[in-house]
Amino acid sequence: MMTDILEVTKQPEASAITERITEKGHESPHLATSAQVQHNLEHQHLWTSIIGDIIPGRSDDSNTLKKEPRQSPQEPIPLLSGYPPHRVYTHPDEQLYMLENEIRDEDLKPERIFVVPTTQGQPWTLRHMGAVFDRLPEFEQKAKEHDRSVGPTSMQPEAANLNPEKAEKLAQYYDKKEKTRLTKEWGAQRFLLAMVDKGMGGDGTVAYYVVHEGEVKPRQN
Amino acid sequence: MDFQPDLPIPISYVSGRYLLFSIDAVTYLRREHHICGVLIGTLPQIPQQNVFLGLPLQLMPEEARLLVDKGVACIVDEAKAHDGMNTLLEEDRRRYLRDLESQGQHISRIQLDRKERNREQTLKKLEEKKAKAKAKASAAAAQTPTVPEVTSTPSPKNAAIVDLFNAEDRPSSPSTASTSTLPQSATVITPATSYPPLLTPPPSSHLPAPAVPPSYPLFAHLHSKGYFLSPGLRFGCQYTAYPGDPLRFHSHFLVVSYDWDQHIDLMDLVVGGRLGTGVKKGFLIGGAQKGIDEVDSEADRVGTVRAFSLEWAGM
Repeated sequence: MMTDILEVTKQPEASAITERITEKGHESPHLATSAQVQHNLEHQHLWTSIIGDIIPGRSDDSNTLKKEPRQSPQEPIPLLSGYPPHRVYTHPDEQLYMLENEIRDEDLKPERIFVVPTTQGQPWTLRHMGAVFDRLPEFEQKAKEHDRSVGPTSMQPEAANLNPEKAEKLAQYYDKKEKTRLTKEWGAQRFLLAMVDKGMGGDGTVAYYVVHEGEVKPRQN
Repeated sequence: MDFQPDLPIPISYVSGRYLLFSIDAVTYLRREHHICGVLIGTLPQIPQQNVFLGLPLQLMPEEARLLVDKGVACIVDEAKAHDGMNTLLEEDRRRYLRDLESQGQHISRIQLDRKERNREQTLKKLEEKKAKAKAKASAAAAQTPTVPEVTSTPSPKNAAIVDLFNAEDRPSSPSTASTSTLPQSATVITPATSYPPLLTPPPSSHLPAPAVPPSYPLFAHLHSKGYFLSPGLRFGCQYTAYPGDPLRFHSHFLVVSYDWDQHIDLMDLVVGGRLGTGVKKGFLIGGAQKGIDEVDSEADRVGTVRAFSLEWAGM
């Protein structure tokens, strides 16, 4: 009897996510958040080739009155990126173009999507948003190099069994896409803002929001 | 249609509100400057009827400020401007009243003319009907000689019906020509603006540009991108941004402004993003990168605005 009670009052086993965080040795809070979001992306949303990075915070902690607008915030911002199994975001005009040309989501090359893990209560300002967008091209380049080194073929859709007509259309689409990158017709840079609620331990939910730079019209207006 | 008011348009400042009383100014600003404001006028007798509101048009301080900064409008202290009413010469006053009266008469005359025309048209129609009936009757009479007495009776009856329907017009009809020349009760006009008797106030009497909330740079930034902005209370945000005239378009964004280093509760982003997605809009946050103390004027901050749009990712 006595032993039973002892067993009940014993501390419960740590959850898989907690184990993962401790295992990975993430000491600082933003990295713990990052680990949790990465876990969620990998196991719930089945993302692949996830890589993590950090946008460093401001090195000098001088709290000067005159802050440059482009100066990054004091805290480092973790940044994740990976390949979702399905397309996460399609601009409404892009969707129209795809419909007109009978291009389906499955026909397209997967795109690397960037994710910024955050948690409720952490300091967050427009400066943080701006800093992420300012540094995004640099990390995109880095990720591209990473993909190339890992093996470029695994990411390509099977080009062999495409009929020439479709291949032609796809080529046109990629051309158009490249053009719209400059004109920002199909939206400018974007990333996913992942939010974790850790209050009272949290329930493990991660909410994802697409954040665009500038005014990008909503998808279903 | 393309009425061009004299610039700058005076915006009436009445107990803390920026109001427009001239319909020409309201349509001009909406058409040319994408400023919609909010109509707030009700009928004095039915103030609870608030579905269709009329003049005056209330402008947000941001809207008034934008127009003043553009040089399109100026702010006029309404109470002070009307002090001039007392100094009007008696003769001017009488001339103004006479003017109003003649305008009123003009309106009643137009209305009477229209009534007259309508009456004539209906009479003509009835006449045609009667003629048709008669033709039929005579045709029938040609066939059976005994019937005419029976069929001829309806026509006087028809005439009686005509009389009945036009009873109110009847008495005046014989003397229509004379009545229109006679002085008749003029429609009473209540002018919405008081510019004809009063002079447009001189620039020296204009009030300074309206004080605006910290969200002004974002407001001006979106306005400069061609968005129509209206107050966002209805959607739980600061402004709602329409890609064109709100009468033609659904809005694209729920807009909330923050300072560049103002703390944003991430839960607010979830709330806004979720709400926006729920009403098929994007949630747009943004603000000027420079504070008001770093620049000379508000206008300088507008160029430094950065905005970000949020949408639910659906995962």
